[in-house]
Amino acid sequence: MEQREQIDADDVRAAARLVDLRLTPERVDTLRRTLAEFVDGFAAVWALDAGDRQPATLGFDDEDAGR
Amino acid sequence: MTAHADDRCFLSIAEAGRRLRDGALSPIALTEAVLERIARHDATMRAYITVTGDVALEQARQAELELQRGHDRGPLHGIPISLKDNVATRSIRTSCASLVDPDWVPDVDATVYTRLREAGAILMGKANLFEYAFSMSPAFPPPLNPWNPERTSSGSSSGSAVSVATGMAFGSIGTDTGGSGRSPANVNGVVGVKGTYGRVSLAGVVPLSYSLDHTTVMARSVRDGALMLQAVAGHDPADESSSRRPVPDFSARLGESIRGLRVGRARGYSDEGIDPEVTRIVDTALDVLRDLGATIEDVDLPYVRRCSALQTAILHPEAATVHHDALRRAADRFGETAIMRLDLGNVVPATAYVQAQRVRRLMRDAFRDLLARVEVIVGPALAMCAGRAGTWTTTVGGREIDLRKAGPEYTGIYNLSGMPALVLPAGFDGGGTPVGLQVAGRWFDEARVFQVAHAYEQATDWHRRRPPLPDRAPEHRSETA
Repeated sequence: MEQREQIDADDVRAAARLVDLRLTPERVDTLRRTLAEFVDGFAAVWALDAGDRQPATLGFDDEDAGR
Repeated sequence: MTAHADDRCFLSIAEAGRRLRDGALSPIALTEAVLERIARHDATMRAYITVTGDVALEQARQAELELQRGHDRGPLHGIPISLKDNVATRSIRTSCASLVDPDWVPDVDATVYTRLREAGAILMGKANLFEYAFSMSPAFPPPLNPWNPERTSSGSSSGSAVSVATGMAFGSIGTDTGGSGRSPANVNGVVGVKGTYGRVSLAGVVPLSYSLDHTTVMARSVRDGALMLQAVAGHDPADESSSRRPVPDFSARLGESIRGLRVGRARGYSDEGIDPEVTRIVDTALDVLRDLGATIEDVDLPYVRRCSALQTAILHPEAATVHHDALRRAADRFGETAIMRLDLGNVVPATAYVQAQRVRRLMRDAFRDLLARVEVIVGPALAMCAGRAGTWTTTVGGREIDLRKAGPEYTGIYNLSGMPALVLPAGFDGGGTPVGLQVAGRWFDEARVFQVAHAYEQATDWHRRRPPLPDRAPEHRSETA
């Protein structure tokens, strides 16, 4: 089942509370939709094997680009 | 104003420079001509948020004195330019097209502006943009597309592109986090260039996304783009992401043959929504490159169909970090789309952010292999022609396409990879709106990108066209979305 059918308003409010964000009902509804879309879309990224690579925390430094 | 005065506003930077040096043109006269053009057209075009006429005339007077005394600061000396209004300017309002802090007056200049001032450029004003370079502004209506006011001028650096396209500046500084510099260049018919990540300082540029932001340049020709980039590139101790690599002469390869160069034709995009008009224009452009002696081979862009998810996972949380305090203090002053994106950025899992940054290195490795086979990659700047003004959508084959989801595959991929990328005019759609071609290259090999783009440009005449400026905005036009 796609996430958009599983993420509900309580999930969104709880996630927002963790980062001290108070949302109007409209923002809760919008965030429920956009978060579900994100989770669905990102599933394919989780499926990628990045091996032992470190995160590119600040983009691409000289060594990254030049090797 | 006479036609002659208007013609001066459309000179190339190189030609204007020649006339400024041989005395045929003075910096003051050129600046006054551009200011007159702004006064005549910008109430309609909305390219500028703030016009800095007094600053411009003072800088022009100084340039005139210096050139008369033989103090030549280089190709941009006396050349009128604009800055996107998220580039900090000391004592000049920097609004970011936002209601959060619309009257912010920085006490320092961004490094790019410092470098342009030192190069003798003349600041005409601060250019219109999306709110914090992120979404359509609730406060500042977007610029008109000078070719067709019914179509979008895109974003977020739309004011920069429109100021250059309309002769209200010779060059401009924009920013590009997922295509914000190249997309408006695409639909407004100018050249937009993003150097390699780290090539141009971000110090003093209000951030959107720390690891994806690039400072960009715009101009009316590839050569002028190279001159603009030359002026602002190079290490800046004030920017931790700034590269220490030496800056080569970006114009060095202009005019060199591209015979034998290996050009990759960008493939692998999602199939949905590719406009046949764009395909036709890009294919025709590739034929031009082939006729010039380049060899063309199809290349699949690595992880291109994951770019939308990757960009969202990185850009939104980084933007939510930038605006953490403001969102909690003054949410009602942000636009609707900004709120939507910032809210999402606040709850994207940290694990997803880290995975996305790891996949960027996977992408980098794949691009490194690909760029061992080809010198540059050529493809569309966007799969669709310019959409309706004031909206995020366009229609292809009867289907409505959300440009926010389509953009990452075409322009955002080179923000994720950090590679240099340039967009230049390559034709017009059936509605008379420009369609661009995108050339991307190896990291820190901007000179090769300029070479290929220049070869194409010189074999065509798209860059010589001037927009027929509308007298006024369409009355039914939506201003925000």
